[in-house]
Amino acid sequence: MKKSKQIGIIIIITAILGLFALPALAQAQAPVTATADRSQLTTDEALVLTITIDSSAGRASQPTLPVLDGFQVESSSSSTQISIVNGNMTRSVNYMYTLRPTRAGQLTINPISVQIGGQVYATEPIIVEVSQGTGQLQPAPNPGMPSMPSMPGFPNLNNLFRSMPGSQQLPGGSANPAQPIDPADAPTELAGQDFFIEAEVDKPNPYQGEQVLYTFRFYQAESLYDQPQYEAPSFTGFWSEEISDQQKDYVVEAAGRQYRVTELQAVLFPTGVGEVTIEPAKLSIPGDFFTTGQILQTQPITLNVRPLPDNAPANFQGAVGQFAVQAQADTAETEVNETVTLNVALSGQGNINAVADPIWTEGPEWRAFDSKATVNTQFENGVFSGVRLYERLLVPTQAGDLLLPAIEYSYFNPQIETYETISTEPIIVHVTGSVGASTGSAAGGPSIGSTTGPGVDATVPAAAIPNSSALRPIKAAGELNSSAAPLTENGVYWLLWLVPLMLLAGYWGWQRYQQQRLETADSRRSAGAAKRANQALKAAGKQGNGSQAAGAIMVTYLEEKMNQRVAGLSQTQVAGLLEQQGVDDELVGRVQDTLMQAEMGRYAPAGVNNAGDELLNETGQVIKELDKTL
Amino acid sequence: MKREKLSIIIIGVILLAGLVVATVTLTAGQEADANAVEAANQLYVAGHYAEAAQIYEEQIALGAQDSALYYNLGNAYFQQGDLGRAVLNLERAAQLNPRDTDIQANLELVRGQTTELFAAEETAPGPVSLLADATSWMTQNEAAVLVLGLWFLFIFLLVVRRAAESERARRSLQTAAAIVLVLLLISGISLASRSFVAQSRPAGVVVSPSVAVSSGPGAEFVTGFTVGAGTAVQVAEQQGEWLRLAAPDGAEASWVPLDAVELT
Repeated sequence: MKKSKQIGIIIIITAILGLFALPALAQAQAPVTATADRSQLTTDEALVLTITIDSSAGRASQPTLPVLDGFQVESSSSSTQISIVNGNMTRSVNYMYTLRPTRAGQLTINPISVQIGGQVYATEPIIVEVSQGTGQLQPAPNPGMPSMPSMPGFPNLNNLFRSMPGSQQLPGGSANPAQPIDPADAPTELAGQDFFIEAEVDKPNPYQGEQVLYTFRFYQAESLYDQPQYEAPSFTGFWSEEISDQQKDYVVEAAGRQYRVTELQAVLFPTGVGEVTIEPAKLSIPGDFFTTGQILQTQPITLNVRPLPDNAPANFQGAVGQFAVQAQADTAETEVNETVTLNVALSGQGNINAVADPIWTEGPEWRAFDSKATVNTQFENGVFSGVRLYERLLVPTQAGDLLLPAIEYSYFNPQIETYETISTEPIIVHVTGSVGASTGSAAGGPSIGSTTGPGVDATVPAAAIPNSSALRPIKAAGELNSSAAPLTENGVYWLLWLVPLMLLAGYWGWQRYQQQRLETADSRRSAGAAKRANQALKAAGKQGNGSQAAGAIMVTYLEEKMNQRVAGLSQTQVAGLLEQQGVDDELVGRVQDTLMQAEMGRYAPAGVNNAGDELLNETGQVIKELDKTL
Repeated sequence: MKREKLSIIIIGVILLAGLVVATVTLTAGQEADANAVEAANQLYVAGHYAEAAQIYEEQIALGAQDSALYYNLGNAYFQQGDLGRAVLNLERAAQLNPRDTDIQANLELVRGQTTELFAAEETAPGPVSLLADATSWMTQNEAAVLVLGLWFLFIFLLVVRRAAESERARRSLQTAAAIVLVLLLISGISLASRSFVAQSRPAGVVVSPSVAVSSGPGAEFVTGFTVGAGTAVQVAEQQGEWLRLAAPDGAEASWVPLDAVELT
């Protein structure tokens, strides 16, 4: 009864805790997400499945891929992003899998489970439409490139067309007016067409990594009663950048008709060299009551991508475009173990999302904490540009005028077709105090300006000099203190564990033996009585005092044999005892005779007792006979 | 009863002698050549740190496992600006002699000059780590001798208790044996935990000036971030020429080349 009451209380408490926990669980943001870089593809293509785990929530396991029906995993990679800000570390891990469909149809990537901090999270299922390809496999995108945008092509294109002129919503207008193309530039194929699409790039011979602007135009002379379906090229061989507000709508008059034009653009960066073809873009024009629909297709575009020149500087890491770098410390003076924040901005035109970080070269006199770059991008006048911001936390470990070295960055400028190297000014920070006098972090303190202005000490202290002033001296040869290999790896050590057990067993065995001897002392004395008597008789014979010893030997024998006191008993009493033991009368008589003769011999004068040896013999015979019976 | 007491004394003497002999013979390691160390020390004092380090290294290569030797070697590397090997050798010295204040002070000083971006994950469940820490103030060999000594004492107390004449003495000895048994279990589990931690997640130190941590065992994988020389790591597994490090929060994607890390 008492037990059932306790169980009831536990159930109630658990239920109450559960009620409190439910809203929290409902609000919790799933720390695991899965995205596919495309929802439609052919059997010739591959998609990149990206699983992002925010492992700040706890210790995370590797994602467990479900059985992928209709896909085969071609390759996988992962990348980690760690940032430490004011001592707090956040970490997210991206696992990227290249999946190639093995058949056409609607395929589902089932939920992927990840265990974080003991709790299992599952992603949403992803549905992918796979159409039959030509059988000529296209190279898979590299799933492991950092900062690669997950959406090659245009985002939400179908939605964009909702605001197209010709649809029911915005006839002739747009929220994003743009300069219309010159009617003279309108494609000649336009003549006589109700609908027409075209695609072009601004640079047919770009350098590897140089920006290429891809433009898609939809010319429309007739109204549509439903959404056209746009299928962007996969841009294989390029990194493509998503551009917000990329849709332009305007009207152009060409071939004697008014066309409403919708223009979409994508920024591409060629990743390889040589001939690269952008596949045709497709647009499905829906039919209406009177007409059937049609699918329009642009011409494929072939680019000849030029490799970068060979004379790259040593610190060139692949950036192409025009860049600038600036660095600023939040303080010019600090103390040992106080934090200095170095803000670095790498800005410019180019693939700012994917360019490599600068190489940091602070010496060991600084403890450096990297931070993840914050990237801001924009697209203006056909140019993709942006800035990568770094906030490096640096902690001086020694006093003095410490150097924050100049940050150098090299890139290839395709406009002038040469490599350029830019650099910040070195910064000197005056550090006071001593090692060990830590007073906490000053991260987040007020910024007091740049140290890169005029008047800054340009003297560069030697880098990589360890702070050895506090190092304790070496030990003298007399202080040598040798150690053995780990004892637990030595077999002798484990054998020693048996020693106490063996001693314990020996001790218990010895005790048992002693006890046993005590218990069997009488029987052992009885068993050995004849032997001892014979030895005594022999000894008496040698000494020549047979008559005197024979009686005592007989008495001792009888006492040991019968485990009973015999000395002091009369011969009649001895005879009675022997009869009780089953000794026959004749032998009893011989015992009595032996005892009597021995008694007489004790009192006979010296030299008279010549019959001593005979008596000893007789005693021996009698004892031998007795031993058979007793 | 006299014989009983005598036999107990004999058992006690055998156990004690066995323990002493074991401690002396098993814990005696190969000694370094004092003359060579003295020569290296003179080089060190004269500022020839590389030459001094070379002699210390030679002595270690000859089999000497000596905390003072590792300590001097760590200092010599530090003086040359090689933070990775400085931390590595001072860590080794601390393992052999954890209560030496000089070693601890210099280790703390050198660690303070590394970037220490990569915090190793919790290596074992909480209680295991807690028990492993219970004997961290002594070397593993000292802990092994302690456990063996407690085992000897426990058995001896059992023998004495059996031979005790009065009930009171038996009770006292029983309590003493129970206390020793508890200590034996704690120190024994602690020793086992240390061995478990050391074998399942061997500790190491990054000795390369800077090593890119890769998402897989190969140069073709993505590098997420870099760790600097002197960073303490724990090795989770080895695949060919690559080591997987136990990552800060258990994510399984932190690989470094084999030669970038040395085990302590």
